[in-house]
Parts: sequence; structure tokens; C-alpha cells
Amino acid sequence: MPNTRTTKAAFEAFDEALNLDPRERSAAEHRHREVTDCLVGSGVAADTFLQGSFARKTMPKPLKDVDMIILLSPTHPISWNQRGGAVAAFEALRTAVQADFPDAAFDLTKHADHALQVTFPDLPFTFDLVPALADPNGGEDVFIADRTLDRWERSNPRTLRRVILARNVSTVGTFVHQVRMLKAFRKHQPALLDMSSLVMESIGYAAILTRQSHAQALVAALDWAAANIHGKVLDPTGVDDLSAEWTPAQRSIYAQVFTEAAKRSHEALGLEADGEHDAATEIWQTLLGEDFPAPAPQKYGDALAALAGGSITTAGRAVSSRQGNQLVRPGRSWRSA
Amino acid sequence: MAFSLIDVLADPMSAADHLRSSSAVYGVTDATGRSTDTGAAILEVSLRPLPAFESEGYPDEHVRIVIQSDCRVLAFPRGTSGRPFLHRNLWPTTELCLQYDRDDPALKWVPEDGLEPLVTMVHRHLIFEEHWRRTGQWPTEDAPHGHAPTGGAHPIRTAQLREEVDRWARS
Repeated sequence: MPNTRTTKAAFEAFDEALNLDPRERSAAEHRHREVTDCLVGSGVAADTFLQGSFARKTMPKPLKDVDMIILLSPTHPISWNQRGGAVAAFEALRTAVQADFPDAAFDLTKHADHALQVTFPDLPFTFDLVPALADPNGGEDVFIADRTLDRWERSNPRTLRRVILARNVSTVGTFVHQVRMLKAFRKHQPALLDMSSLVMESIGYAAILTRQSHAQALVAALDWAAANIHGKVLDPTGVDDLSAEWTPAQRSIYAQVFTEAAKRSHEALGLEADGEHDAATEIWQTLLGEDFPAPAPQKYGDALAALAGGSITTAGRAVSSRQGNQLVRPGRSWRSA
Repeated sequence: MAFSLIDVLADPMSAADHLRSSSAVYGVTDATGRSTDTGAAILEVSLRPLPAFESEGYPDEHVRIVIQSDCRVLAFPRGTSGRPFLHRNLWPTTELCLQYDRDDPALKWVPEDGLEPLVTMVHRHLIFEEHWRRTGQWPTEDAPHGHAPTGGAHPIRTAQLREEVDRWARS
């Protein structure tokens, strides 16, 4: 049982709880190598690399899917860049994978425009294989296939991975952990579930610039979101506006959620500063979900004593600190006669 | 920024909606508001106990808060048949005696504090009344009933409350 008596310790336990299962991570990396060997060996691919939150290490548990960019071989008999090439690329991937993994299933639970979903019966997560062409000018962008529109679209997964890695280095390795926490926050807010998890990563990227405690980082990110969610939300590379298709109604709902969460996060930070760790962790749990350690319920006598003067938190805990949401002034009851 | 009493008087329904739908005051399960012909605002508020008291079987409380046009306030517990109160005026007025008029302003709610601190004070008082019913003890220092025989204010008896006067001093 981890020590969760302080807010800092509770965040450390939360961070641990969000980590991917090491066996699943290892299995994913091993299967990535096997699929790469399969596709390169069959002559379909020149190389592959991982993309997505798994590659960037910003994915909280559970591991659901692993994204792979498949750089198609320029010497393959199919001319990928001609009409029908994008569709043919998907078929070529399917044929090659099927040959080495006869039990694999394809597009079992989703049929994405840009990715061939592969389900391996021995793994609890899926692989999304994204056929792509290398930039002929040698840049780090790739051109990914759209099988519905039969075309190739510029994409910058390497840039995204590079900037996230750089931010993680400049925050001394804390950034990716804090992004996982922001994604856990989103998952715990029903009103945000139609929002891409990359939005949370982008909010974190905009707001978390230096190494800071997990609590301070989350406050910074929620503040940024509350103040900026009505405008553009650029992905960390600065290329795509992830909010371009949001309706005014969605923006309004998101703004409400982030504003309330930011307010509560400040409350938690103030309570932590006053040493009210149970009250602070209780608020963080309401924001971040069940993976965040819960404090012991407040005892009757402690609540009664705190009502002598202090405040009441948004979670309903009476504290002697004045950092809770409702101030409790220490008045004397009296009757005139 | 609290909901001001001026705004409550102008639009008690909005004030009630604020209490009901925001996280401004913990435990508000229902609230309605209306105006009277005399310009007062009446809020009917239902309050769930804080979790530490809920687990001890404390009941939900229902209270009518009257805000008069001059911002004087009265709070009447509702549905209290058979429940004794220590700090409530006797019939016929029967309002809660929320605070001691002659206390230092540090220890008193004042109209400028607004609606949420007022409801918080009422909620705290109702929790204390329930504790008194169960134990016979008022959980914090209170003031003796009636006026001080010297004509001044009832003195503060405990060091703890004297410290609180400093901590809550109004600038």
C-alpha cells in the first residue's frame, strides 16, 4: 500500500497507477518488431516506426491500441502514389500480415480511413497500421494513405514525437506523466469524452513549460484551458487546430468544465499549502477519478472542531484552513432572551 | 465573488438557481426563491449534511431564509416539529439566533459578505443544533442568552476564540 498521507505522495501513487502494465508494454514492443520484420521481409515496407501516445509515452493505462507508421517500400511492384495506390497499400499490408499471423483479424472494431486495425488473438490491445510514403525531399513529414478518398495526406508524427520528447527533457521527465494525468482527468469528465485525448496533450504542452509539481502543473493546464478553450487549440507542433470542428455548444460545455475544474484545483493547491492534505487529495480525486488515492473519510469530531472556524471544501470537508470553497466564520450563537 | 444581497433582493429566483446549480455551497439539494410585496426576498433551501455528519445519520435540513429590503436577515428552520433548538428565539418569532449582535465584526456575518457565507452560517448552525440535541453540548463557544448585565458585550471566554478574532479581523 503506497504512502498517500501527503498530496505529493498521493500524486506519486496516482502516477504509478496510470502506468501501462510493463508486460503489456513489453509485448507491444515485441509485436512491433515482429510486424516490422514481417512487412520489411515481405517487401511491402522499407521501415516502420511507432507513433501515437504509446510512442510518446503519454498514454495512461489501459493500453488499447498501438499506432505504427509503415513506410512503404519504394521498390515494391505497386506504384503507391498512383490512382488506387492508397487502397492497394492497405491490401498489401493485410496480405503480408495475414501470411505471418493467420489468426489475426482486420478492422474488427473500427474501419478507419487512415489505419488498418489488426487484432491479434494473443494480445488484449490492437495495432493500427498506417501506410505512409516518406517525404521525397527527405523531411521528417510523411504522407499517409486515406483508403476512403484514395489519396495521400501530409502528416507530421515525427515532429510531434520530437517536440513532446523535448518538452519532457526540459521538464526533467515530468511532462509525459502530467499529460497522462490530464488524460485521466478528461476520462473522468463525461462532458469531455467527445474530445480527442490529443487536446489534453496540447493543453499540457501550452501550459506546462518548466518542471513543477504534478499539482501545480495540473493547475496551470486547467487554468490555460479555462482561459483559452474558446479559441484555437493548436496541436503541439502548431500545425493543426484541434478545435476547428467544435460547435459553439461544445465549446461552451468544455469551458464550463474547465472553469469549474480550475477553480477546484486552486482550492486543492491552497489546502495543500496549508497542510490540509486529506482535503486536498479528496478534491483531486473528484477531478481525476478513482485511480487517485482517496483519503480516509473525515471523522465526526474533526469535522465538528473545524466548523469552529475555517472553511468547507467543495467535497464537503470542514477544515480549519481558510482555503476551502466556503468560508466558515467563527461566530457565536446567541439568543436575546 | 459571492452573490450579493442586492442581487438576491432583485432576483431571488436567480439566487436560488445559483445555490442549486453551482458548487458555491456544499449540500444544497434544493432551493427556490420569491419576492414579497414588501420587497423582501424569501429563499427556501434544503441542505444535506456534510459527509462526516451524514454518516452519523444527521438529517437533511430545510430552512426559510428571509432577506428584508434593508438587508436584515432571518432564518427559520422548517419541518421541525418536536425538535428542540438551543439558539432559536421563542414563539412567535422562532428564527434562529445565528450570531451575537455585539460581537466583534470579525465574528459576524455582515450583509456585504453576501449570500453564500449566509447560507454557510445557517448550515453550520443547524449542524450544531443537531449535535446539541444528541449530546447536550454546543460544540463551540456561544454567548449567554440575554444581554450582559453590565450593559456591554458578553466577554469572550476562550483563548481559541480570541485568536480567531485576530485571524478573522476585517480590514
